[in-house]
Amino acid sequence: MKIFCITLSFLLVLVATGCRKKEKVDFEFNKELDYTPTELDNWLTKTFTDPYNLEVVYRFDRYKGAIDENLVPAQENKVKEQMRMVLSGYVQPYEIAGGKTFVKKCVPKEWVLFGSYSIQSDGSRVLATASGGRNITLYEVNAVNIADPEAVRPRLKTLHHEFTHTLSQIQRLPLEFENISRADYTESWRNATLYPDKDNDSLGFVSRYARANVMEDFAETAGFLLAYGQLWFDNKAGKVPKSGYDILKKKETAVVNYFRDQFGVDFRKLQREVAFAMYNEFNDKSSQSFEYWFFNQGLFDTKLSYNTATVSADVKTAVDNFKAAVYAYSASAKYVVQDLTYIFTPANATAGTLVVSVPFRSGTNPVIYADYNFTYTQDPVNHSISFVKAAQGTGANYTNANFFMASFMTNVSGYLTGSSFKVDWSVSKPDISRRDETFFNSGGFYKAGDRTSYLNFQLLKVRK
Amino acid sequence: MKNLYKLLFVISVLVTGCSRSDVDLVFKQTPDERMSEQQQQFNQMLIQAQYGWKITNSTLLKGNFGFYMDFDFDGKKDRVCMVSDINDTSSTVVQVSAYRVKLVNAPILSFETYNYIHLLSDPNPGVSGGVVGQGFKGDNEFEFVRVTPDSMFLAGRKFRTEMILVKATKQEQEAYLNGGYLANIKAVKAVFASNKVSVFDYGGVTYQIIPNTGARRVGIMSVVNNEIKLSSGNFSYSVNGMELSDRVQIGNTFITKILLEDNKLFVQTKSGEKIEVRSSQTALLPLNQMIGLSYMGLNLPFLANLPGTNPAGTTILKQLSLLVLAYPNSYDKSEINLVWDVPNKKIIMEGLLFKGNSIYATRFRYDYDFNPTTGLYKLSNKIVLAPGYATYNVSLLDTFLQNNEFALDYYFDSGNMYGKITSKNGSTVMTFMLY
Repeated sequence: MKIFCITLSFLLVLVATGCRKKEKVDFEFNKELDYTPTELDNWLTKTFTDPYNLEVVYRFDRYKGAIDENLVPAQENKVKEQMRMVLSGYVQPYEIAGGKTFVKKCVPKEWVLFGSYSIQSDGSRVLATASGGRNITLYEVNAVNIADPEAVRPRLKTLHHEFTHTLSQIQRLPLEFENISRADYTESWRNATLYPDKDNDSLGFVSRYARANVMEDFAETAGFLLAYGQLWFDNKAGKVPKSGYDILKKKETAVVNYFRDQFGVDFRKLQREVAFAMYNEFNDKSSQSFEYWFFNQGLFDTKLSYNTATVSADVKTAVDNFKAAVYAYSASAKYVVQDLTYIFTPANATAGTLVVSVPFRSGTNPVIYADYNFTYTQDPVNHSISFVKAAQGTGANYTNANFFMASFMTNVSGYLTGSSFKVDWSVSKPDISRRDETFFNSGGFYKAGDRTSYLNFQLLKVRK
Repeated sequence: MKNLYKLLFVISVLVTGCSRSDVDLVFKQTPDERMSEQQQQFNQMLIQAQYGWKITNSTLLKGNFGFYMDFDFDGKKDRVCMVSDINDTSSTVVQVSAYRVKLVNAPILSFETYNYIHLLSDPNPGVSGGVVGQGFKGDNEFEFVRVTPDSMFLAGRKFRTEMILVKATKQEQEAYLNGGYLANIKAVKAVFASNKVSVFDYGGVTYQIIPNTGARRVGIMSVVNNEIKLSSGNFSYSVNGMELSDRVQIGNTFITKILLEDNKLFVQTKSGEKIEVRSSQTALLPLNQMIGLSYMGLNLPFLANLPGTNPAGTTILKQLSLLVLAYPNSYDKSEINLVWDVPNKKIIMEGLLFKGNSIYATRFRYDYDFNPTTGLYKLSNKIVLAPGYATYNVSLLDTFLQNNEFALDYYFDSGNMYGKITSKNGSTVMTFMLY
């Protein structure tokens, strides 16, 4: 019996284990469903699937879009344009500012492209959707044109908007942000009669859509900060009433903190990388130029101070000569020049006046001024500017100006009218690039053909 | 003995424990294998047309369109090249895109990346026209319906549009791929234009061809025993002429094609009979005998300034369009109709304003008198049937109709036939579509 029991248990073990199979599951997806990869497929694989594990679905699949809507697939050449936009305007900036791990973890894995728009029954157009932190569907791919920065910018904004949603589905929005505009959101945000733009501005909403709810507000704020850039945002904030300015700046801070604290993403760096991609890849030259923001948009204070500027040695010598002449003018008064203020007043996009105003004083007497008039013409295509001495005006400042006219004409005016200049950001620092933090903080002009002779002013953003 | 039972028990455990029962396949293959076989079979059928396919594809909103397609041309797998009669570019420039025969319940042919065929389904009317969100209601994906040795019949998955593929010959392929398509379309239009009125005789009856290239329809009309017979259908262009769908009847048979050979048009019947089309300077019947019977009346589409309209006529007709242009948020488009009610001798003038799915109609009704000798209409007794929103913007037309006697004639231009209203003194001429 004992032997039987041993035999039986041995056999049972044998029965139980003997049939265990270690083969793989006997199923393979139907290979006939595969397509022969084209050059485009290979590029997508090499650029997105291999490094980031992203799948790009551009071949028409009715079930990837809204089933009740009529959609058409994307043009193959537009697929590449759209995905280049995704790569350089979105994935790569995040990779630089947030790291490889962040990108691999958080960037949605499935990208579906449709050629046409998706239009809902109420007539509103869907530009893109994000779902489940896993998928992003982009519409209107056939309208993409990466040679036109004004067409790229809104699409890139949509992209960053949607991805901000994805992030806020992973980590809750900061209370810091939620509390700012809590009382001002509305379902009827589309209604421009009830909620005119003027009100949206003074309540600190970056766009009309931002007024819909806190999620959209957050995504819009981040989207505009990234795709339209800090300069655009500051320009917008500077032109709305003070209440709006304060709120917009608070929201900006909350967004920057959220990205840093929750995801370790350097938002400022991210902004600079997106701006650089816009400049470098998508031809966004004119609206990232110094003259656009200074002369055209009025983002900065147009009174530029010599004292805080960085100038080349030849300019310094000339100004010092002028200062010495002013000092020597009257042995008794001993006038001391306090500063040179370059006051630009644009008349239109390409021309205007420049007044070089010289504050000076004798000892501790009140400061008085000597003003010198110029006109300038600016060429946005060649980024050049040239000055012409204009007729002086009348009044005390011009009377004062006459005292030092000879020296001013030789030293200061001579320099300005002696050649044409090129305008740019950070002209005193040729070694820093658009990707550097301080690049957009200063700007000025240098002699055409001679980068070593320049005036570079510190810029001050204006606000209401 | 007891041990023997035990032994038997152990043996039976050993024997049965490891036995696997295989799946019993009714059709000897797995469903997957069978489907894949079917899929390959259909793909093979598409590829096997050595010189590609001549194709007619219908839409729900704008008639038929002609295509030429070659699947896996030059041995490029999963690629299709095509031209189409949609516009001048699409009929000359060959475009390549991806296609696949996929399995979605049944094998379907899917045009997976953008090509001319998607111009018909593009929901943006800015692309090639049609309705917002729907285009012309064309399909992107097609199911296989039936196959004959030289042709295939497919049905669209969403709108059930028809796609008929017929194998092309070597000469046809060469013509399609080298600009012969557009040349042919232009030649067909030119013959219709130079004919002025195109007629042909069949079975002792004279038939008039009434092409409408804008609407992609063609009508065949005849008068038998003082009775007007009109049969019409959609057409698309092929490299040989026009392909007619629907049943366009002459006598006891149907017309299937209108062929262009040596700059002459021939009507081809279902049985393959070819009848030459000749030119005529006059229509079978004057328009004033057809209106209200074969045609409901005259129609003016939004913003249309049809050939033949003189400046005085343009001023009258554009009045309603200007209202739409002034209030783009209130109205999408406008139309003007003049409808003949022959038995009651009345004409109804409609000014229609469209917004989304709503139509706002302004309707005036007039009594008319027709003088067969002079061929002039005279209107009286205006009654407002519906005031609508267009009253003040059809006032010029209303004034014209009440204060002028006018003649109604055909107007021929580029092979198309329109309805023309001319005031008695000839100072105002207005051209409309016939519908």
